Amino acid sequence: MNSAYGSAATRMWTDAETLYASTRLGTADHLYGLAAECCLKAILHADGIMPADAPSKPQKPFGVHIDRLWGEYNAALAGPHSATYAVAQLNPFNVGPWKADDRYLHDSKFSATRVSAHQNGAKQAWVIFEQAVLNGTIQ
Amino acid sequence: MTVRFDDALLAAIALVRDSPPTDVGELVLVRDLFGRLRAVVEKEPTNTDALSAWNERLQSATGSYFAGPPMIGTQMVAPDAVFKSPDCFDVGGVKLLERGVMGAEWTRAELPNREPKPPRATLYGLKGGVGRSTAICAWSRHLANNLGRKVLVIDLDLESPGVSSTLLPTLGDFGIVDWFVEDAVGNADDELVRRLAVSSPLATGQKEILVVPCAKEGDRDYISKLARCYLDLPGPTRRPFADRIADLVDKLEEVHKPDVVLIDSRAGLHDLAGIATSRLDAMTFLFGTSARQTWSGYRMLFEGLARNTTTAAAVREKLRVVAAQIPETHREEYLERVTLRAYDAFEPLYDESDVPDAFNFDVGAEDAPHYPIPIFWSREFQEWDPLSDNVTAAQIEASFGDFVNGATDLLLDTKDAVS
Repeated sequence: MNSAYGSAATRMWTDAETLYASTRLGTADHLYGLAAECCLKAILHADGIMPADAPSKPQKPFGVHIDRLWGEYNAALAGPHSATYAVAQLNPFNVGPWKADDRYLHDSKFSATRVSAHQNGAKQAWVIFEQAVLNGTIQ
Repeated sequence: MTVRFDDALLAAIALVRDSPPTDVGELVLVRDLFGRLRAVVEKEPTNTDALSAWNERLQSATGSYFAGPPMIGTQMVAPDAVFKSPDCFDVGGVKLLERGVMGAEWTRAELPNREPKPPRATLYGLKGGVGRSTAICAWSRHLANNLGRKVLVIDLDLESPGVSSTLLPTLGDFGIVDWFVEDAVGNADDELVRRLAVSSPLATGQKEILVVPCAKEGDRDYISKLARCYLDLPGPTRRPFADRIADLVDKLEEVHKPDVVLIDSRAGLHDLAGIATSRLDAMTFLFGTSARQTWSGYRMLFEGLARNTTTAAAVREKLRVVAAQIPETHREEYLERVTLRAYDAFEPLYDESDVPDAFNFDVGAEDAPHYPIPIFWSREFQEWDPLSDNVTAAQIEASFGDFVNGATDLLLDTKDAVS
């Protein structure tokens, strides 16, 4: 897989699921958000919408995490696959809401409802990512 | 040696068929948007090294058309998108899933068209300019004025609208493209559907000819709307474009209650034509002249259709060739050429004759899908304006009589027709 985002998406999704299965909700929650972000950025990157350089620190308007990216992602899509790769209008990461800085929160803050919503959001992004791999858009 | 597109698939199929990987459950070959091939297997084998070694053989066989390592169904979130895809077919004993940019609509199963519904006919031409819209004018006039049927004509030739302006002096408040953009944001209410259809003055009796145009009158934003029509609506209630077309037709029938629906399909191998001809449960009339390229095109289409044997079996019974623009001289020879070329084109859709209950016909069988219904070309129809009555009823009968009667017989039970 050439894209760093694709590789990161795979790693974070897999690790998030492993942690979730062990009820280690705090870090699972954090990784679900990052996994979803990487899935969507991998598609934007592969479609040439997002610049290929410096994937570790993308420039605006893509230098945002999933809590904002989800809402802006559909608007960035273009071309014949835009509907295939679009996300639902309702942002599952609004539950909480998910924030990258939440990794510093106390364990008690990660309720089952919150983490489940974020897992669902990451799953939606991952399904789209899988389709992009099957389509050959992401290699 | 460079491995080309066609060779890559043949090599991959041979590898899967003759020496498949073991202990992986079901295997589907996925050909992606670029033609690259990847194996998707149901489960990870105990011996993963053996699967990797097998995949290297796939890479070697497919060259530039190799997509990457196998995907494992049990590790996927959406394995059904592969293993239960409607676009997954058996090719040479191997399951193949095509992930094309377009073209899949031709081989997909019929849509869940709502019952009860009136008889539907789609008029389609592989090539344009063969008198399809003119035939719709003649047929709708016959159905309404001679047979007392309420006719709904839907102009689905969105890239090249025509039949609506032939049947209507002015278009209406909305067009089909308006319905699509409104539907995408949840605004496609019954009021919009009611105002989509406009009554044509071509109907002179008790029964209307309602026309659903592509565009509204004087639309200055048609291109912007057209650019948003072919949209699969995303999200949890995902509605693919084809389902939206079926919804539109169902809704038009529910609101306007026509006795017959005539659909003017766009020409060519576009997905929109695939939906109109294969997926709306319509009797489809295939227009063509005697030109060799027309029938070699139809042959390519039928080769593709035949890939999905289930869809092909359902669709082939609802096809009928129309020999268009038969010249004023040497008519018999022209018709014979069309018949022979259509027969050859239909070969992929016909069973071998020795199969029990074979769907198979002699070249001269008059009830066969390939056997053409004639439309005779006449100088008058080059400038026919159905709304100005510049062609006589006798001239219409001479050119279109066989077609309107033959097509009506195929579509309707005419015994109860009002004459």
